[in-house]
Amino acid sequence: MDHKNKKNIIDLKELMIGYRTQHTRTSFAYGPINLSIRSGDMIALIGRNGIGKSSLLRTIAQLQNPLGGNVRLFGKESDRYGRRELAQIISFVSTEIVSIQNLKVYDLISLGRAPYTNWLGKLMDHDHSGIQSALDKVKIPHLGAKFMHQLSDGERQKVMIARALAQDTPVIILDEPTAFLDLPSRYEVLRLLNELSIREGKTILFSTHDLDIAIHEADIIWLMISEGITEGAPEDLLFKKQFHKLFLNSCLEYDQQSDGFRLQKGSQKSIGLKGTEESVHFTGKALRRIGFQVDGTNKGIGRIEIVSEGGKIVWILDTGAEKQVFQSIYELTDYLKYNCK
Amino acid sequence: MKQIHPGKGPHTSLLIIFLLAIAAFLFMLDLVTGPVEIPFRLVFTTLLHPGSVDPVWKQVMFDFRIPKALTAVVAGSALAVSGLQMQTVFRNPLAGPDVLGISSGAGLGVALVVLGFGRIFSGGEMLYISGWIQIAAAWAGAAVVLFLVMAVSLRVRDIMTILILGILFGSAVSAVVSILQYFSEQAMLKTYVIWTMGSLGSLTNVQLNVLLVSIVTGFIISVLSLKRMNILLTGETYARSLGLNQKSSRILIFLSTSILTGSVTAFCGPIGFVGIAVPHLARLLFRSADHKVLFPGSILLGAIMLLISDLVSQMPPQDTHLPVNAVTALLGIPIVMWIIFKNQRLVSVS
Repeated sequence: MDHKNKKNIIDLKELMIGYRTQHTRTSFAYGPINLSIRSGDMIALIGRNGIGKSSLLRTIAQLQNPLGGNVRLFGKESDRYGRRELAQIISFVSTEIVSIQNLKVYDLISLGRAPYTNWLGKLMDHDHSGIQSALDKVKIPHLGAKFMHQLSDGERQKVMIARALAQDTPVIILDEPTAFLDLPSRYEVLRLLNELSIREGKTILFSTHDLDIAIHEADIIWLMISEGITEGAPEDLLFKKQFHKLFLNSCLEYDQQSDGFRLQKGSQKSIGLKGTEESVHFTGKALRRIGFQVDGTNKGIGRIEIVSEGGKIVWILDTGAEKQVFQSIYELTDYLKYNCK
Repeated sequence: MKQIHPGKGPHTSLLIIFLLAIAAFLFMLDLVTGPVEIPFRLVFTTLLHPGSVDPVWKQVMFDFRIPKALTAVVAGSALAVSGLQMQTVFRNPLAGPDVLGISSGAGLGVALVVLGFGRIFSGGEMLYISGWIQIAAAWAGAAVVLFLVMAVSLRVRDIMTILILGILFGSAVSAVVSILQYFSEQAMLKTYVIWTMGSLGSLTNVQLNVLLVSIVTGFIISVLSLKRMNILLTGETYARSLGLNQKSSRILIFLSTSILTGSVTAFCGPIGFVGIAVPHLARLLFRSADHKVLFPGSILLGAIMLLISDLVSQMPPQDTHLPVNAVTALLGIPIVMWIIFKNQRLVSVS
C-alpha cells in the first residue's frame, strides 16, 4: 500500500482520559494524548496495571466520556456521531466473559448485526452470511450451534472477536483479548488479529500484558507510562531501549539473545559454556534463569562442556578443581544452585 | 437460497403449537371444572348456543368461568413476561416481580387505598371508580419500587446486594401494611386480606376488560423492546458498543414490567413465583436465550401454569377452594429450588 495513501482513521487531540467520582472523591486523570491511528494498523497498547489502558480504549470507543480534548473519527468529532452510526464504525471486545444460559454462539454473534437490523432485530440473508463469514474468519465454523457455556475460554474469546467482525466495522478495539487464555490460545488470538488487519484491512487496537507476543505480532506499540505514550514499531522501541521505562523498579528486561523479556537476577556470576548450537541455547537459558551470565570462554567459576557420549548427551562441569558429569540440564542446574553460591 | 441457521430449528414452532394445544385443553378443562356441574359435551353447546341450555349454566359459564379462565391466561402470561424482563435487565436468574419487592410495592399501593383512604372512596356509587383507583395505586406502587430498585442497581453493581435489598424492602412494606391493618376497620381489613390471597375469579367483566387492555399495552411495549433485551443480555459495555440507548431501553422495559405486574397484582392480588419460575421453564424447553422465542414461550407457559394452579385450587370438594397464591407458591417453589440446585454458579451467570 502506498505510504502516503494511508488515511488517519482516528485522531486523539489533547485527549484527557480518566474518571471523577464525587462519592468517594477519588479521581484519576491521564493525558493529554495526541496520537493518530491509520487505517489498517494493528496497535498494541502496553502499560502497567492501573495506568489507564482500559480507560483509554473505552474513551476511544465512546464507552466513556473524555475529561478533555476529543477523539476524531474520519476527521469528525466522535460525539457528533449517533449511537448507531458509531456502532457501525467501532466494535469493542471487553474482558467481560459473556456466559449466558442457553445462549447459542450463533445467536451471540448475530447480535453484532444489531446496528444494521430493524426494530425487531430480524436477520436478513446478508446478515446470516455476515455471521457465517465471521465464524469462518476466526476459524470456528463448527461452533455455531454450540452454547456459550460449553466453550473453553479461548473459544469464547474467539466468539467475541467473531461478534465484533459480524458488526462489520473498520475499527476493532479489544481490551486485553489474551487475558485468561493459556499460552497457545494467546498466540492464536493475536495471530488471528494480525491476519484480520492484513487480510481484511481492519484497524485493530488492543491492550495486552503479553509483551513477548505483542512485539512479534503488532505493527505499532503504544507504550503507556506515567510520562506519556511512546509510539513506534516494536523494533524501534527495542532498538531505542524504550521498554526500560516500563520496567523501572521491576526486574524485567529484554534479552536480545532469546528475543524475549525475562527477569533480571540479582548478583551475576559467569560461567563458560560449549556445545552444539541447540544444546547451548537451552542450557544457557536454564543457566540464565538461575542467575549465571553465560560466556563462550572459560571464565568465572568454571566451564561446562556438552558432549555426546555413545549417543547420550552429558554435561561436564569443569571447575578447575574437579570434573563432574550430569545427565540432564535439571541435574546440572540443581547442582549449581546449591554448590556454587 | 434459504439455509437452516443454527438456533432457528423447526422445533421452536412445533413446540409453540404443542404448548398452544395444551393451553387450549387446560382452558376448556377449567371451564368444565367448578361446583356447578356442566357435562363436558354440553360445554360447547353452552358456548355456541347459550339460548338452548339451562340459563343457570349460561350464567355460570359467561359470568364466572370464562372471565376466571381468561383472567388466569392473562395474569399468568403477564407475570411470566414481567419475570422474563426482570431477569434480563438484572441479568439474574432469581430476579422476578416478587423477589425484587415489586409485588410488595403494588401491595402497599393497594393497602394505602383500601386500608388508608378506603373510607373516602367506599361510597356505593364510587365502586366502579374505586377499581380504577385500586389499579392506579398498584401501578404506582409497582413503578415506585421498580425505579427505586433501578436507582440502586445503577449505584450498586453487585446483583446479590440488590436482591437482598429487594427482600428487605418487601419486609419493610409488610411492616407498614401491618401498621395500616392495625388501625383499619374490620371490613376493610377483610377486603385487603382476601386481596393478598390472590384470586382469579373476583373480576367483573368490566374489570377484566381493563386488565386485558393494560396487559395488551404492556405486551406491545415488551415486543417493541425484544431486540433491546437480546442486546442487554450481553451486559452494559457490549450493549453500548452495539449502539443501544440503555437509559431509554431500561425505562421502556421497566414501564412494561410495572404495567404488567401492577395490573395483575391490582386485580388478582399478589400471585407469586409465576414470574420467577416460568421464564426458566421457557429457556429449558426452547433451549434458547433469544427473546423472540422466550417471549411467546413465557406467555404460553405462564398461562398454562396459572390455569393448572386454578384447577388445583378447585380440587377441594363442594364450594371451597384454595387461595391461588398458595397454589402457585407450592407449584413454583420446587421449580425455583431446582433452578438453584441445578445452577449453583448463580453469581457468575450475571
